[in-house]
Amino acid sequence: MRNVLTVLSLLLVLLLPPFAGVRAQTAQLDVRFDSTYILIGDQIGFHVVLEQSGPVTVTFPEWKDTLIKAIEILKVAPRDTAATQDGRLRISQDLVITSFDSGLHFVPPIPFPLYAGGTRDTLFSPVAGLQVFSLPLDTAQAIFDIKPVYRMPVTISEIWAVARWVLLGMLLLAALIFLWLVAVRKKKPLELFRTRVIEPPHVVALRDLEQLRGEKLWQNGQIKPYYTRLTDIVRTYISGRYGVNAMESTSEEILAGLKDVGFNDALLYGKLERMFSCADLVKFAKMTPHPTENDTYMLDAVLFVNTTKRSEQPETVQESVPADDAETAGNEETVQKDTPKDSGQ
Amino acid sequence: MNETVNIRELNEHIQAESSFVDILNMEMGKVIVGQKHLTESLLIGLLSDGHILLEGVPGLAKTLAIKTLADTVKASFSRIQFTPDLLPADLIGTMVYSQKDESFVVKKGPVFANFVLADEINRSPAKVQSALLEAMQEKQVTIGAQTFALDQPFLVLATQNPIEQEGTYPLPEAQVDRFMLKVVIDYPQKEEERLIIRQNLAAEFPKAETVLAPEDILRAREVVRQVYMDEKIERYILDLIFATRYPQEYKLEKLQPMISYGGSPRAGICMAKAAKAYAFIKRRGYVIPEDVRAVCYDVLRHRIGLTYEAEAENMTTVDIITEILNMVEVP
Repeated sequence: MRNVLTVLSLLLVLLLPPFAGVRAQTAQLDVRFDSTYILIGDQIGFHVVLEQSGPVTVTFPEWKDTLIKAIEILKVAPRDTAATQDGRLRISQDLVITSFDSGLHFVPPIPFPLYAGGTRDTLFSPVAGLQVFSLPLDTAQAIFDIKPVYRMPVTISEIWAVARWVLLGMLLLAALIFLWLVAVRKKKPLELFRTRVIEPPHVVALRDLEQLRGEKLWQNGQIKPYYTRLTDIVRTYISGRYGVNAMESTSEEILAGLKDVGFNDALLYGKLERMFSCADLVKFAKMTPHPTENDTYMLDAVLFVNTTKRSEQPETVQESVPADDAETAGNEETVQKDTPKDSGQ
Repeated sequence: MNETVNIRELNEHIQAESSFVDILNMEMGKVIVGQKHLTESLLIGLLSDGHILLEGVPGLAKTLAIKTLADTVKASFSRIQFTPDLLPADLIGTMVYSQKDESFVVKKGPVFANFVLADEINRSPAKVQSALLEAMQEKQVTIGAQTFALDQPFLVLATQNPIEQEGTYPLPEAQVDRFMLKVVIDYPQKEEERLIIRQNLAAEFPKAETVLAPEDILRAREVVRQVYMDEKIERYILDLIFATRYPQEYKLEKLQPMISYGGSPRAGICMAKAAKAYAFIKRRGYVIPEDVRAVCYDVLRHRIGLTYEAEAENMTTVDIITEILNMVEVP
C-alpha cells in the first residue's frame, strides 16, 4: 500500500508541471505599488503588468472607483502594449490611487479571465500590500490651517457695488455744497419750502368778474368772449364751492348738479338758469342779447357768488420748492384753486 | 346782425319743419310702449341718413319698432332674416332666365326697399354681410352688368343678439364702423311692461298710421343739414374723438392701456350729423353740447377697441365714454 501511494505521488509530480508550465509560459501577471507605504492622502501609482505569448486572450477587469474599500482609484490610464526582447507581448496599465485610512491594507488577488486554445481559465494577480501612515498629532500646538485661505481676485462688479454708493454720496455732498454756496452768495438763508395761499372760490370769482367788467368786452362787440368768460367764472366758482363737476358739464347738468347738492334758492336758481340759457344761445346760436341783459347777467353772477359764498379764510399751505425755484423760495405766493380759461371766443 | 337774424329765421323754420316729429312719435307710441331712446335713435338715423345697429336680448321690440317706423312712413319695407345659409344673391337679387323672352332678366332682392330690417345680421357669414354693407355705403347695387341706385330714403336697421355667440359671425370692426349708431336696448320699466302685456292681451293690436311720405323725410334731411353748429361744438366733438385716441392728452392716462384703437374720422362725422338730427328732434336750429352728449354713447360705443387689459378689468366701452365725457371740458 505504501508503494502504491509513492508511485501515485511520483506520477502526480511528473504530470502536473507540464500544465502549470503551459499557463506560466502563456501569461504572467504582476501587480505592484510605487511604494509599499504612503502618508495618508498621498497619491501613488499602482501598476499592472501582463506578459503573454501565443494566442492567448486575457481580459483586464473594469476598474471601479476603489481597489479595495480603503484604497481609492483616482485615475486609470489606458493600457499600453509593447513587445519584449524575447518576443513576448507586454501589456501594462497604470492606476493612480490614494488612501485616507491609516493602517496596512492588502489588495487581494484580482481575477483576470484567460482564454487560450479553446481553454478558459482565470489568472490571479499576486497579493500587494500598502502601509498608510497618518500624520503625527502635535498636541503642544494650537489647531492651525494646513494651508492659508485662498484669496480670489476682486472683480469690477464687486468694486462697482461699493463704488456707486460712494459716488452717489459724493454727488449729494457736492449738490449740498453747491446749494450752500449759492445761498451764501445771495446772502439769504436757503429755504426748501414755500408758502402758498389758496384763495377761497368766491374771492377768485369776484376778482375775475370785476376784471371782466373792467375789460368792457361786450361794449366792444365781443359778446361771445364775454359770455364765455362770464359762464366760465361762474362754472369754476360752482366747482370750487359745491364740488359739482361744472367745467365738464352742460348747463342742464350743472343746474341738476346744484339741485343734487341741496341748492334750494329758487330766485338764484332761476337767475342762473336764465344766464346759462342766454349764454348758450350766444355761444352756440350767434344770438345777440339786449345790452341791458349783458349787465343784468353780470350782476346776477356777482349776486350768486356773494349770496352763496362761504365765510372762509384764505388757506395757507407749505409745499416743497423745486430745485429751479430755490432762489425765489421764501416768498409768499397767492394761487387760486381753479383758474378760468381764457377761451377768447 | 344778419347772422343773428338767420339763426332766428332758421330756428323758426326748423320749428315749423320739425312738427312732424311729434306726430311720428305719437304714432309710434301707439305701438311701442316706452323705449323712448330707441324711437329717438331711429329718428336720428332716419333724419341724418345713417344706418343703425340695434343690440338687445330677444323680445325687446327691436323688430316691431322698425316695422312701426316703416308703417308711419309711406315707404317700402322688407325684412331679411339672416341665416348661415343665406347667399348674397338672396339679398341683392340675381339674373334669372326668362324662357318667354329667351333672355336673362334681373330679379331684384329684398334690399331694394326704403327700410331694410336685417334681422340677426351676425347669423350670416361675412360675404352676405359684405353685400349688405356695400349697399349701405354705396347706396347702389350691381347685379350682373347693371348697376341700380337704391330708392331714397334708404335706411338699414340691423339687429344682433348679444347673448348667443354660438354659430354667429361677429361683424368686423371695419364693417361695424359703417353703422352710424349702435343702440343698445334694455328691458322696459315695470309699469311699461304692464302696459305691454295689457296691449298684447287686447282683442286688437294697435297699428301706427302712415303720416309721412318719403319726400317729407328727404326734405327734413335738407333742413337737418342747415342746423347751425358752432365752431365751439365742432371743437368739442373733436376733443371727444381725440380723447378716445390719445386719452393721455386729456388727463386720462389710466385709459391709455385700455384702448387698442379710438374713434375713426367717420365717428366725428357721424357725431356731428347725429347731434344736428338730435337738435332737430328737439326742435332747435342750433346744436348745443347736450345734443353731442346725448348721441355720444351710440356713436362711439362700437368704434372704440378694447384691449385684453380692459376686458380683464371688466371695463366696457360705455365706461370709457363716461370717463371721457367727465374729463373733456364742455364749451
